[in-house]
Amino acid sequence: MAAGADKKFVPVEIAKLQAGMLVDRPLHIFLPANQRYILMVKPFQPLEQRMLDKLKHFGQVFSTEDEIDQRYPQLAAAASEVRALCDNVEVAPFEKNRSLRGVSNWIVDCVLGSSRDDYVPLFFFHRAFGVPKPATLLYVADFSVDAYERGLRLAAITGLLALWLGYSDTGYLVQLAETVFCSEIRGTNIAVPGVEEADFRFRQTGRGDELAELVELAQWLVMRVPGSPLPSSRIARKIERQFRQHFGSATVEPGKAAA
Amino acid sequence: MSNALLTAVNKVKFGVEEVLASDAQVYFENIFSTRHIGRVVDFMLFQCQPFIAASTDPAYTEYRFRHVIELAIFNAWANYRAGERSKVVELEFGWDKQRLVISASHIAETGVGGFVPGGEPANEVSKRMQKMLTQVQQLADGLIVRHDPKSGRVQAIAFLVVDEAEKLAAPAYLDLSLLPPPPSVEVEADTQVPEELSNGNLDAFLADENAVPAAAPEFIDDTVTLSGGGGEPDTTETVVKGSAPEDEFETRLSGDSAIEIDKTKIVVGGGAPAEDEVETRISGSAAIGVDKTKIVIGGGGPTGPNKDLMQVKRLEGGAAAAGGSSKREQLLMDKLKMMSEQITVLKAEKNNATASVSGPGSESSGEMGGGTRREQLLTDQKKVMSEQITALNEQINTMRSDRNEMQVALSDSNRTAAEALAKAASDDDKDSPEVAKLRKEIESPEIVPSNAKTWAKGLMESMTKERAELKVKAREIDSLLRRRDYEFKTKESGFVEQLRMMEGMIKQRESALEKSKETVANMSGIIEKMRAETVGNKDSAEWSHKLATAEKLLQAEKETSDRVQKRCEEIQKRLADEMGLRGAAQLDVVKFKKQADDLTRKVAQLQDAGQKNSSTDVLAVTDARDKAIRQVEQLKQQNRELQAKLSTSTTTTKSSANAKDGAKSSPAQSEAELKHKLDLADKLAKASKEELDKTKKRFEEVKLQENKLRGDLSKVQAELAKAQADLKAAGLRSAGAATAAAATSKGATKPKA
Repeated sequence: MAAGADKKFVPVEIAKLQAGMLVDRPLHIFLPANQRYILMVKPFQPLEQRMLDKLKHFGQVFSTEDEIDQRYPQLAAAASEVRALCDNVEVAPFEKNRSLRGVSNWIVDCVLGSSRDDYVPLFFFHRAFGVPKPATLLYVADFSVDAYERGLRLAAITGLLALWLGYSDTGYLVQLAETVFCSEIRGTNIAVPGVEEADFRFRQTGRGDELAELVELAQWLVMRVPGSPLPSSRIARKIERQFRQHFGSATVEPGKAAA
Repeated sequence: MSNALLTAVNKVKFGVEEVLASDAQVYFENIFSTRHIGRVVDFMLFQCQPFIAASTDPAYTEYRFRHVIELAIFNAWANYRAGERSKVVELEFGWDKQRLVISASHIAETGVGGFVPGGEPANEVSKRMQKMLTQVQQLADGLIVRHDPKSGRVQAIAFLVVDEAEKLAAPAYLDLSLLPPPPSVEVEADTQVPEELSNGNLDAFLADENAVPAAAPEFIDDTVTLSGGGGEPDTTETVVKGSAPEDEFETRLSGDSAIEIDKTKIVVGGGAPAEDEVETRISGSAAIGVDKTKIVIGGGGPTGPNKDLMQVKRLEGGAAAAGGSSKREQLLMDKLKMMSEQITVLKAEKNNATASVSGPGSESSGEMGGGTRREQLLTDQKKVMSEQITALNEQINTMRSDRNEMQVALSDSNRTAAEALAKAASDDDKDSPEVAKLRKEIESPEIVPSNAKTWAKGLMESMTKERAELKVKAREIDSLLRRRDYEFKTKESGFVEQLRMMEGMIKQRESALEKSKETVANMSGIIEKMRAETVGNKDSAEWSHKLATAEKLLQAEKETSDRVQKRCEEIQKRLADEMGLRGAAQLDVVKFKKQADDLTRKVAQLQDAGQKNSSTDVLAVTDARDKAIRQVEQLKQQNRELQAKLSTSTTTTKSSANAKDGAKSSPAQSEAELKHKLDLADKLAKASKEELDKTKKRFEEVKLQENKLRGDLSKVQAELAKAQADLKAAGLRSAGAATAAAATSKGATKPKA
């Protein structure tokens, strides 16, 4: 329970809240008799049907933060554009990749640069590809909160890195993100609601596999201190070559360019 | 080149940039469909134009490049593992001045093998792959295939070179599963999550935490037979003092009573030399004073002490290896250390004891003559000892049964300590070579005299007994230790259980608290909502009441205005009627005027006629005059009636205005309502006033008209009166004339009737 004396609460449109959605800001209710705001849902958590009913019952929902679309006005448009590009089979891969990088270039600094922001990659990827699905979110959140939060960030950053490395196929990215999100809670045989049978490419990443390196790099990015240099791996070198301007110190040999 | 390339490729992780110079251009492309392969190849060809242009035959190089890359892509696409939802061919492509390298990776079926040109294909897919790769190999200057059978990843690396010496004659195959793993990146221990925990297998994680050795240590169950009680009394110079009470075992053993080892302690020393002896020291009562129990285990045999040290070291090492040894193990380690120290002390004591044992032996050989007394003493002592042995046997039996009971309870106690104890005890059982040597020396008649031999034998026997006894005691202590361990564990588990229960209760209470808070919150919300609804209801009721009142007032005002309007209309109607009447009256007046004129004319005619006055004409004029007078009277009456009606309507208007004023004083109405009503009333009053003014104006107009009419009427009346007067006068004249005429006519002719 928050007194809310020093915070500014803005009303939230209840019609926009849906069961299973990923909550982008803290949701409070207000008790007029006590003059108190009570925190009901934390950000990054899935909105359960029970909670949504409760919020609807109270009639008014407030938050200390603005909607994510207001905070990042370009997010929604960029996400839909990226999705459209990934679904587009009319353009060649190199053209598609160039367009994708152009659309999502503003997120690079939030992921790789010093201005790290968990909201942008997470909600961008979620908006663009709709993964993890609501049923998966609820299942994993019930299973382990720790695994849920870590997996959510890891899946989003892995997906974005894959996107920037040219894995510009919706089905592939969705499978990759789902597998990474559920990898911590399940072995290879546990079925998770909302997830189709996981691709063996992601489950059985071999030694030196690019996917395994990708996930390792994403793990490092999730855990890292902002501004620290990238670890030395092939994928990291590729990423660094592509987004050299976002890094203070280039660790790759000069002269090698990348498409 | 070939060697360099093969060396570079011969690692788990590989990228084409690793075999190219620093000024190389490298491109990565992931192909998810075969739709745009032509464009991709064109793009690559455009990018690598400098390399192709620099070759000896650019056209042929371009042809080779195009076909190699297309074949590599199609090989990967066509032989992709079945069942994948999205296929992806990872294409890497780079060049420098010397070479151009193309790499296409894909995931193949797990059973593929022998697909490299020249090999034996394992299956149909491998055969297809082999065909394509053979073509690639024929077009390219070299082909290397990297394959990880575990993940099914196949990477075909083809290259074109400028230098002929760099060409590869045969394709190379590299099995990645045979390569050493890449150096792992060191992760700090704090950030490492145990595998069991990361897998969510809490049981496995806890099982690892509470790990116990799989096999329980063997519990030594050898029976000890103590002899000596029933045998021939020894004449050995052995002094055994003290007794063995039931609750406190107190035995003092010494060689020739010169050395007093310890009170409430049993020290058993072997007959071996000092450095090889086996010592077990138990102090305190095993049965009662459990806390006072100390066990010191020393090694036996030729390498006894060293072995002990090694044991301690091993245990220490084991504890260090375990990382987090339990407190119990630490305690045992401390005990073992203490025991080893005591062993060292006892070794010195034993040396002295051995010296004293050998001393009296030599003495006894010199005192063979006076042996009877000693024999007596020994017999007595033997009896005492046999009694003690019996008691000990009983104790042993009791302890054995206790041990059997405890054996069951010891299943989860510290096995390491038990092993160490058991081992030490078993070591104690064995006679070290030195002891055997000593025994042999004692038994040999050449070295030791018979008396000394007997004495030593007796001493050895008693020592053996004591050792057996001590062994039993050691076991007892061991069992006690285990029992205590078991009790401790039981208590610990009990406490843990209690703790869990408490935690559960706390959680339950917390959840109940949260639920109650939630309920309170819900209730508060509901109350707030209901309160808000109630307030809303009150307002709406008040407003509806006000509305109804206003509507009523409006209705009343409407009715009033309707009435006033009706009244006005009536008045107007009446006015119109009156006007009509007046018009009619005016017409009558005009008529009368006309009549009067006619009459006047007639009178004039009559006057003109002179004397032709006829009585009939006079009568007609008289009738007309009467008629006109009656009409005037009727008009007057109508005018009065109209005036009366007008005055009535004025009073009605006034009364309605008064009624409005009265309605204002309703005490139940709110101020706003009253204000509103007042406004309405004001408006209505204004309207009424205006209407009244209009009506007044009309009334005045009507009055003026009436006055006018009256004036006209009076004029008409005056004229009428004048006319009547004239008529009268004319009538008189006519009468006079008629009289005159009649008189004249009478005079001339007969008068007519």
